[in-house]
Amino acid sequence: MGERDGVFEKLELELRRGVIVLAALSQLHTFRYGYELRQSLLDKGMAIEEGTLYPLLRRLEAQGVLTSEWRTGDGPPRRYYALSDEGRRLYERLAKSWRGLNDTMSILLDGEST
Amino acid sequence: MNANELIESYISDVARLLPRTQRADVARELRTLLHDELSDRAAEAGHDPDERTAHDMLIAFGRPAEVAARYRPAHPIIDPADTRRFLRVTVIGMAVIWLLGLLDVLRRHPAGSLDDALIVLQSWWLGVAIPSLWWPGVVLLFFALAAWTRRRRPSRATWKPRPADRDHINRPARTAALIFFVCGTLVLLDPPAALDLVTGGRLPVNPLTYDDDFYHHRAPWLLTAMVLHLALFAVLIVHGRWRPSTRRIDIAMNLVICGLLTWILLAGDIFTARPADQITKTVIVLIVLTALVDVAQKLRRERRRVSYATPLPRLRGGS
Repeated sequence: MGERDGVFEKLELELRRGVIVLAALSQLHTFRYGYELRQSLLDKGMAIEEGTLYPLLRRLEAQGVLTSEWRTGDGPPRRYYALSDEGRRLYERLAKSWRGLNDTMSILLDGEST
Repeated sequence: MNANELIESYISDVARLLPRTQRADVARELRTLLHDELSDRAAEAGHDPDERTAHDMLIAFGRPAEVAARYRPAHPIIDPADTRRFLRVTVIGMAVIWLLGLLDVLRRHPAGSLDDALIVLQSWWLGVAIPSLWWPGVVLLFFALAAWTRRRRPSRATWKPRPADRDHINRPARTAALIFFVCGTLVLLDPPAALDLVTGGRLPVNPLTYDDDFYHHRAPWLLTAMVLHLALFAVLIVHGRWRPSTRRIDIAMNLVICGLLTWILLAGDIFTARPADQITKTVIVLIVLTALVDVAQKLRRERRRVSYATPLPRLRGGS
């Protein structure tokens, strides 16, 4: 049983890994800093480990998908991220692709249950 | 160590694994994020941020090396797809080197007692096992270069079909090779005469004189094996292609020759002159190594032929 649980966790992790980028991009139409983004995703039911999310933002910025800036408000200085112009176009394409994939999966899963 | 010191220690461990240009910036961002996380966790638990909460949070965040790796694109030295092949080549190569090295050490220090065995073990460990680490290094370099080339020029990594008929042989090339091997065998029959022919007999002492014991007891066996192999070569040229029988005979004969050469290496001198003897033995070791690798590849190919040639059960007699 334990081994089966291990397999489930591994496969579920792979499933989640595939949507993390799209989930993060979906919340970055306006500038947010890492912790705020994580909370926003968590509030909507998408928990992403902090050790995964924060480095991901940096990598996406290095790829030109995100743009960032340091902001100093009341608290300590924080790095805020948002979609770049290229990131917006990429997001639209990825979202379309995801919806198509989702529809296909619905058909497949519904077909399997009937 | 309080919570703040723990976080600073963690940030320092992550930052030092990052590229120099990224370190300060990532450390600054990570510091704020970790303090935000810690405040949140402590508030949820209903107490002030403390060392234990900080420790749990940092453990959940991940090992500094893993976190640092996530900040940059992954560039593995060896492609994950090559890992199994890398391990196999490394392990087989090491096993061959260790085995031949052990035989060589046993030849130089016959182990008749426990003390001798310890000397052999020490000699093998220092003289063979540790120096043999050059092999994994060379294999690693080869696979790393292959991975690098594939990343630089992905088009080169595209799969290309092998020739459909891999059993066909190039007759002219094989005939030329056969002539070369026959000449080589003739030279080996009487090396002093061959050397005299080349030098015009000007050498006062011929260094290629066979050791008597080798000439009378071991050379005939080797010569017989070589002649049989040449005969197989000739049959192959006549057929114009490899057949299952010739492939298997070739593997068996290669193994026999490897065995004979190993016996010759261990049994005593080949030439009376020490330098010629040592050089020949080194060449024989290289020949045995190459032949064993070749045999291993041929055996693998044979096994693949058998397993790939078996039709799938559902296709048997299917419409």
